[in-house]
Amino acid sequence: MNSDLKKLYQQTLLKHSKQPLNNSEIPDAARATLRNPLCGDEITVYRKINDDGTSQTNFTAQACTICLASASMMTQHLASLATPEAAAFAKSLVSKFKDKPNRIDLPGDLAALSGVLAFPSRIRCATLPFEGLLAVLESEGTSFTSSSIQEPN
Amino acid sequence: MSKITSQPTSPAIPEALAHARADFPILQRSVHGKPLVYLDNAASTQKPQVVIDAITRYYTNENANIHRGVHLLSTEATGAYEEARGKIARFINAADDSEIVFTRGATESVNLVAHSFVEPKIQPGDEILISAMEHHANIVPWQLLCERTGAKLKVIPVTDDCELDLADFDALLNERTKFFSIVYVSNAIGTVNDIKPLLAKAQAKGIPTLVDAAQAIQHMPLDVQELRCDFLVASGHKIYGPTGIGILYGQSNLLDTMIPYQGGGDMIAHVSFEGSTFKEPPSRFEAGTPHIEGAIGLGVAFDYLSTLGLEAIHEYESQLVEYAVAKLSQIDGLRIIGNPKVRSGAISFTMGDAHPHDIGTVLDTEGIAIRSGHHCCEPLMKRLGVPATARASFSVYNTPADVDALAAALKKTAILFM
Repeated sequence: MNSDLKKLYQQTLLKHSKQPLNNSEIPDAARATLRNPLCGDEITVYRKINDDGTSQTNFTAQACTICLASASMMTQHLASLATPEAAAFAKSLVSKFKDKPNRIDLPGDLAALSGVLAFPSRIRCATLPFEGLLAVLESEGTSFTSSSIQEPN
Repeated sequence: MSKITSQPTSPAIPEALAHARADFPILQRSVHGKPLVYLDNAASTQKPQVVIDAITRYYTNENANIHRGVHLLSTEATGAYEEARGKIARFINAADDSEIVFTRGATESVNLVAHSFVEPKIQPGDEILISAMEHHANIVPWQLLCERTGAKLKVIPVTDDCELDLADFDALLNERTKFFSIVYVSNAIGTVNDIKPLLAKAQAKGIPTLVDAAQAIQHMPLDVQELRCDFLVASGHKIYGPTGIGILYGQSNLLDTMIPYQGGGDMIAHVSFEGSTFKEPPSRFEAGTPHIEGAIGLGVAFDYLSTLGLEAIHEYESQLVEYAVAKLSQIDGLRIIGNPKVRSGAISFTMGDAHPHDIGTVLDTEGIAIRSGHHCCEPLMKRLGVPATARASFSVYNTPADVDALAAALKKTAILFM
């Protein structure tokens, strides 16, 4: 098999896509639904701030392996981040992928997403969950605009 | 579902098409180090050398604006452009060359008819009839028209097999119906609709008709006078021609009654600030300098199709699609979407946990180009219960070996996502 393909569909990514974490609706949570018009993939990101100040981020999606895995790994990573950090992280990740560098260093399981760089047409699959998160945060009044990450149809 | 276990017989390439593959230079290139297997023909076909040469020849020897200059180059360019129109008219057996309008593609052709023919006749409460099998290009222009006019969009449903469900057709086609627009061959599933009796029913009720032939005209003999449609649309780039050019066929008695689509040069008879008068069709609908080399290239593409012969193309491609259905049916977990009685050009499928985009990416690394997604048919996908499919679509240069390569690569894909 092609080595780029092996790197893209590595075990970490397949594990997350087959058994995604936090893959359910949170009733009464702030939410945003984003769609990739190119392929029809759709993801809804839910975020709830608990009474003790901790937060929970979940998602539901009808999407490809990369998007599902990205969403799963995102919700896993966000568990340890406060809202401003979560927003900054998501914004930075989207912006990094948009620049299409040769490599991207991401923490934890998210490192598995770097394989997508060899497949430019699939980058949006990886960033869509993070764009969804930014949309939720924006709807909550966190001033991190997602307007710069809209792509043409 | 039990799998067919016997090996399907691969079809023989007929003499008429034996050399077709060599006519397309792009098929010699490799993709990710593998020979290119191009199975995304419903999205856009590759171009034969004769079409590429015609475009080069135009810019090398003939380039000038048309219908304007008295100089030789303009005369030659005008001649080549109008000659292309004549070739297309003969290809679909239009009664007159003037029944062919050059547009940017099937999409613009539908929009032109909606704007210039249908909209002026519409009252609130009137109905436009289409089907659930349409490409977005034969849905959205009518939705926009309905929003502007207060008309209603009515939709012929489709069955689980992805055939038109005609149980209520007679009720859907009623005294409120002002226009009937229908797809001939589904781009997403490959269903060939038996449209002739439907067009006849509409005609009997005095309802004008449009046929979306974007996925039909390159695959089967087509005769507009035999079909008895009022309008027919197609795109050049899906018929081995250039992008940015397409056709609208319209019966001359209808084109004559239509208001202009866009205003500008070359579509006017006379302009003054008190008012302007317009040329006869087809010029009335071709404002501005047109896509001259596109039209010339498209004319050559039609010549190319005629040389190969539509009968031979239809017979061979039907066998190739049948072979592909048989081969793909043998792959564990692969589900072919739709089961139409007559299929042309395309096969849509899903495969277990492998999302169509993932299938597309894996196949790409094997040099195989397919389409994955909703195929600009979101309502149809929703009806068939799939958010997206992978689609292999075929043309004159595809071979049984291409199908074998696809099947082998899909088996590898299945292992990766198991």
